[in-house]
Parts: sequence; structure tokens; C-alpha cells
Amino acid sequence: MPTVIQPPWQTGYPVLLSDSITLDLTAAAGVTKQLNSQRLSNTYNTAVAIDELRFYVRPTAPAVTTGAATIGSHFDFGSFITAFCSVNGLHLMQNAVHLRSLGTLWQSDLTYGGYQKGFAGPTRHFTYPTTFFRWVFPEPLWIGRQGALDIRVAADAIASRPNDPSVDVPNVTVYVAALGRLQPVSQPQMVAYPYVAEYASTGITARAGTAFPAFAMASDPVFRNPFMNPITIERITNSLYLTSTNVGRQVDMLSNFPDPITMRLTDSRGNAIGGASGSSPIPLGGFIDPRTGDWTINRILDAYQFMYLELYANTDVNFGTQPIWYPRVAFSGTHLAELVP
Amino acid sequence: MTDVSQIRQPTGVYNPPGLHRPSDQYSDGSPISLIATATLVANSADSPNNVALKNPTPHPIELTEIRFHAHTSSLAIEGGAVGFKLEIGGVGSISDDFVQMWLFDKSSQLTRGETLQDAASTITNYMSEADYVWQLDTPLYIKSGETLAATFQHYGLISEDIVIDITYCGRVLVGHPTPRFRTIPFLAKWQGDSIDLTFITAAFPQTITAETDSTEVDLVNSQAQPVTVRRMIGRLLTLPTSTDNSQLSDEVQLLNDQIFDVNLRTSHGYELTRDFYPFRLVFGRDTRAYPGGFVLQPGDYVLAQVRASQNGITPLAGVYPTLITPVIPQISLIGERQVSL
Repeated sequence: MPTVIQPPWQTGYPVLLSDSITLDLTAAAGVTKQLNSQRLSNTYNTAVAIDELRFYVRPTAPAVTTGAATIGSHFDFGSFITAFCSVNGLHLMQNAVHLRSLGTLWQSDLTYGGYQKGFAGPTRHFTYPTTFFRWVFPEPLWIGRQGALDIRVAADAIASRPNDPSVDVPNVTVYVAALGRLQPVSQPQMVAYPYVAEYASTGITARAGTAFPAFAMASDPVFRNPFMNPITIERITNSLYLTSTNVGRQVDMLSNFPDPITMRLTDSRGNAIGGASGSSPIPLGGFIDPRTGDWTINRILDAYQFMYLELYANTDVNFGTQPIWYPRVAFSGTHLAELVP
Repeated sequence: MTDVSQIRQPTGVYNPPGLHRPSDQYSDGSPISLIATATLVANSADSPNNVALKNPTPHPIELTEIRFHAHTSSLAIEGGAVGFKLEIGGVGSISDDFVQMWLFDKSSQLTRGETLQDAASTITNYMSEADYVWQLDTPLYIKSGETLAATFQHYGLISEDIVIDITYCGRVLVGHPTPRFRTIPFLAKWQGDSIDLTFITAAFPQTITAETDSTEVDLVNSQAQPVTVRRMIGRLLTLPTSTDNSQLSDEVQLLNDQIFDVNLRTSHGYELTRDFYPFRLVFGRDTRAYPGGFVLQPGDYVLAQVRASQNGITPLAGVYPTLITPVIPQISLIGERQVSL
């Protein structure tokens, strides 16, 4: 049982709340598990302000494909492990969001990033692949006394992650840590809560020839502001998850070639955010900085308004092997709300 | 000081009074950088030409960052191979002991590995250069003629000479009143026992662990003033073997990530972490940093426990034990104290 911490701890002292859970990556339908909220609860006698969430994934057993095998398995758990976070019932996410979409690339450790299997080139495969991501909040997330983070983590179903390395790493442990600091006893009435929404596209085959009937967000309000107050969208992030048997590492493709997919983004009032309605969609590299994987837009999304996203295969450029791309686009921002009790 | 406006200029040269001041070319905010170099042989300590690190201006300066650069002729080098000690005459040392170059501040991702090399290698993704930057939380005030003297220590972990460059970057303060206090950086470091990881090759299942703990004299505030801790840095120094270069592979880094956990608390019993958590979760894998914000009164200290456990590691023929090398955990406290000027 966690104990209630008493003074003399002072405002500003660091806080680390953490728990872990093991996921079975071989479950055909995917698996969702909830972390122990008691271990993610504020047991201090004052509020805490959380600055960031850290996600750290490590396997419970070595990968089957190891050593000098010619078939490499290059892992990026952030491409198919998701998290859903709320605090005292207030959702911080519209849906379950892939770990990779929670931050910009510089907040991720891409040293061992990327995801592929069956690449018979110069192999980069690891016996114990681990992955680290940080979700740094634009504004600190307040958690009042006795408040708790509610975090569920999940692995995508195998069917939605073809060419998957699950046979190599059957189980992983997902560690989540909330890092912040103690706050004064007096608490603000209104707090800027973080909010993330992600669209994980179905597969788009490069050079499909005709415009891929990519996606119409209007019928699927992923990017709708569900709150009574505006959302300040800080940034839009993009990642390209790809499956192929003979392309380079995803991290390289993402860094150098974000353009297999084109995008058009408007808001529900018809204002063009990226590419005007009726005009040709613009390659993702036109919006997304390939060095960081994000696009800082600092745009207000009014209550109940939404953004309309269209994604297409880029038919103008020869991407050679015609891999299947799974673009993920997410927005991250804050909205003001009363401090949840 | 010569009134340059009275100096006769050649006919035809426009030189209005006050425009040229050859004896004092500094204006408020002028950038300044002081650089010194030394070559260290193994297992020796030496100082660079500290005259070059003396404030040469007739004004006080404030240092905003200190840059470290080390290189060898051929062997891979990381920040764990060299220690620094910085001292202001009459004020005292910034640290009680030499502190490894990579423990001064968050990782800037200029160098990401933590493995040293002491044999010619065919692996090309490690460099014989290492760069680190210490961005001071509060600029360091240096009086005119005062020196922040540096001493370097070559720990002998690699056999080659190491060439060290140290650079102080800051600006000149002209016309500012002399402050009553100045903020002096503070560093304390703990280096744990070398942990031999060969136990992970033993037959499994088993629960063998190895642990090394800091003491009350390691991460301690040894100064007479309270120290506000700004952050902590954690590193896992992987020692070289004399002939085996395979430890240079990323596999070793991932192996360490899998094995090591850490637990931190202050001398008052405040739990900076509530349990053993993965080393790379607490000291984030991208920055190697844990946030600070707490105050250590004189004599207060932080206790660190680092534990190596199997955590699912199993012996694999052909992979281990050739990759297994001793690992030394290193943790630092980075803070500030105020002294009267």
C-alpha cells in the first residue's frame, strides 16, 4: 500500500509515479491491460504537476532471431503499442494513441528505432530490443491530492500489423513513469489539460496509380474538439509505419522520405490548414519537418469544431518497391478545464 | 585610460570622438569564449594553460555554458574516460572530485553510446571524438582577472593519449552593478562498483542479481550552503576488453538497458523513486536525466542503489559471453549554491 507522504517535503520536489505491465504480443486480437492506478496515484499531501510521461518497453525474453542470422528483425515497439490515459475520468486522449505519436522524434530514442522484418540486407537486429518514448506536456498536468492517472496500454492485433515480429518477441513489459514535482497546497481552478488524438490509417500502397480513397475525417470525428473550451493545438506529428520485405529501415525512410503520402488538412469551417480544398494534396514533407517528425502549428480549434484530414498515396514519385505505408497523424494540444477533483 | 578622442588621426580619416576605444573594445553583452587544451596520458591528471581561462577583460563576465571536447588518435572514446575538476580561486571547487565529462549535463545526443574501446576496430559507427555541453542553469559570474581553473583526469580506461579542449562561453558585463551574491554550480558524483555480467550466462531460470549502492559521502552536499539540485544524470559505463571489439555493437547497449534498475532516495527518506525501476526509465534514454528541484542542506545526501538482474536475459549460444563486459554505473547531482561575492 502506498503511504501518504508528509512534510517537510517542499514545493518543487521531484515526483516519479511508475508502474509496469506485461503484454502478450502473440494474442491474435491484440491485448489491452490496465496499469495499477494505485501506483500512479498522488499519495502526497499536496498536488503534483506532471511534466512528462515516459514509456519504456523491453522484452521479457530474448528475440528468437538473434546473432548472425541473415534475416533481421528491427523493432520499434512504438509503432504497434498504444496507450490510453486519463486522470480522474478526464480523458487525455481521444483514442488509444501509438507511443510514437506522443512526441516528436527528438523525444524518442531512434537509435534502435524502426521496424522491419525479412530485410535481407545489412542486418540490424537485436536480441533485446527496447524502446523509449517521452510525452512532454505543453503545460504541466495537475493531479490533486488522491488523484490518479488511469493508463491502459495495448498491442495492436496481429492482423493489423502484417509482417510483424511478434514471433520473435512474444512478450514485452511496458513501463510507464509520470515525472513531475510537488505543488503548493493552493490549487488553480482552471488547468490546461493535455489532449492527443491520432488517426492510424489503413494501409496505403505506394504508387497505387490512382488517388487512394484515403480518408475522410468528417465521418469519423477523430480530430473533433469534444470539449466546451477551445483546444490549442501545439503540433501535429506524423509517423510512417511501413511493411515490406526489401526496403530500408523505417527510421531511414521516415527521416529522408516522408513524401510517399500526401495530405490535405482543412478545418470544419472550410479554412485550409494544409492544402486548400479542391487543390492537389501536398506531400507530407511539405508540412512535417523530417528532422523532428512534427509540425508546430499553434492553432486554436474551437469547441466542437474539427479538422478534416485526407491522405493519399503520392503517385508522382517512384518509390520503387511499392511498400505499404501506414501513416499515423496525430495532433497534440491543451484545453482549459476545471481541475478535476 | 587614454582618451582616444584626443588622438590625432591621419588626415581624411573620419573618427568621431567615442567611436573607437582600442583599450576597451567590450560593450555590454559582448560574446566571449575562453579556450584551453591539454593532452593527457593514461592514468594521469593535468591542467591546461589556465592563463587562457582567465577573464581577460577589465569587466566581469558571466559564463553561460562550458563545452568539452575529447579526441584520441584512433580509439573510440566516450565521456566516461575523462574527468574534470573546476575551481575558482578563493571561492572553492565546483566539485569535490573529478567528475566524468558526460555527467555534467543532459545528453545532447552528440554521442549516444556508453562503450569504450581499447583495440583497433572494424566497427565504424563509433568515433574517436566526444563532445558534451554543460548549459549552466544560472550564468556564472567571473570577476575581472578571476580564473575558473580546470584540471583533467585520464582514468586509464583506454591506453591512448586523450586530447582535451575546454571552452567557456559567455558574455561581458559592462556597467552592471556588482551583485551581492553569485550562484556557483555544484556537482557531486558517485561511481558504483564494477558489475561483472557474466552471471547472466549461467543456467536459468535463476534470480541472481548484483547490486552496488552509494554511501552517505558520495552524492552529498559537502558545501556550507544549501544546494538546489537541478537534475541528476545516470550513465552505464561499459568497459572495454583488450581484444574483443564485439562489445562495441549496439547489442551491448540494449543488453545494459535490459539488465539495470535503479532506486533513489534522499537522506531524509524522500523517495525520488518509489521502487527499483529500469535505469533507462529513470534516467531517460535520450537525455540520461532525472529532473531535480529539491534542496540538499549541508550534509544531506542522496542514496542510489543500482541493481543488475536477469530480467529475462537468457544465455544464447553464439551471442554471449563475447558481448559481456563489466559495467560501472555512474550518477551525478547537478545543482547550485549561492555565496556572497
